[in-house]
Amino acid sequence: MMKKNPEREDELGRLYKASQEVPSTPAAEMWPAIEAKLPTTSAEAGPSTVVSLPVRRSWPAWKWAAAAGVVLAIGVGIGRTSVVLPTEDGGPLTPVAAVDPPPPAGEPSLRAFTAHTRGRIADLEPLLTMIAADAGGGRYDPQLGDWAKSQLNRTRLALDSPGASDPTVRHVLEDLELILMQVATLGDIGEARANQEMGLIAQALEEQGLLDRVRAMRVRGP
Amino acid sequence: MRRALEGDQDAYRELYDGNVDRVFRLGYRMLGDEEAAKEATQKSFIRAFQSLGQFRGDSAFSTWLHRVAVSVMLNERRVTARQNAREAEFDDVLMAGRPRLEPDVGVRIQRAVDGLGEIYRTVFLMHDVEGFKHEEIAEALGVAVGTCKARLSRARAQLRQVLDVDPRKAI
Repeated sequence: MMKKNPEREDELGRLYKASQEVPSTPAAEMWPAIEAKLPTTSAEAGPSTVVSLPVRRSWPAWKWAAAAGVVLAIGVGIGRTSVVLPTEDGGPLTPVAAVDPPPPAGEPSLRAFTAHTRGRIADLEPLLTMIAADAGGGRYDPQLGDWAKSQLNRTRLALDSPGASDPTVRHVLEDLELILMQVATLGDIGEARANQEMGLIAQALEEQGLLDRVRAMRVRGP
Repeated sequence: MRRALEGDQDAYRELYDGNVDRVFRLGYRMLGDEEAAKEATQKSFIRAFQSLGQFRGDSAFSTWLHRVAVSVMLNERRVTARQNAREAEFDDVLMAGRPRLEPDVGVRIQRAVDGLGEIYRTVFLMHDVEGFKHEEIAEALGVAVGTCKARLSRARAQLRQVLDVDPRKAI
């Protein structure tokens, strides 16, 4: 195994810098648009449109019912037998063995990998739905953070698997990794900033259309 | 910052002048386009200033600003890059930037970095290219410093793998 060469590490950065000239910063040109939206009073400089609500420490019963309902409705609708549901403490249950249609005789095994990975992505729909709901309200729930954390490693493993060689699948996984990472680490930054960050996450989810893209990953049965 | 919170417009300008260059440069590195970098820079400052009241001062303003900026830029990158078929425009961007290296080496490195996962690419650009410290990057991404270092190590490993032994080799 090649030893790490610190000089070579710096060289990569230097070579990249040399390959791309950055134009000089047009500071004066950019300022007017920013100035136009400056808060003019201390009241305006206060909390943004993100609503800061007390952090809840347990999920209300309706939320569990809604999550279970979403998962079961989808599962019954398309005959899936693999779901991941959160436990009362926010962690996921061990998933039931997935049943994906075996690849037709002669098809490369990559197709099976990709189908399996798509299924794993689709299983994250309930979590993403909850994140979208909480993010839209600008509130952070630590249990949601724990759930996101538990799914983050699985997402990363999927990124490293052959199933992520499909560009569409890979893009969804990369976007998922970022969202899950952002949600998973909110518990470390304090309530006010976590709530603010959820507002940014809500915007990202909407702009990326991530929830729809995750739903589109669901493997259709025969 | 106190003066800014009291509505002193000059105070906002001071905060802007002290941080705009670094934010713009990062935006350009991450988005590869001057107009996109300008837009992302403006968005970042607007968001940071509009929610200044929520900033508790437990870290430098610049650290918090970079956190907002990275979030804005990552979102912009995904929306803009895929809509504009970034791969197809890559060569145009490179030629406009007038690379000072042999085009082949520059192209290889740009492509290699562009092929990294978003988080790895961000950490590499912030640390190895723009000189951010690990603590600043960790704060911006909302991860532990150790995680940041691990990400950088992995990004470099992937680049080494893609670029083979010597990135200067033109063949």
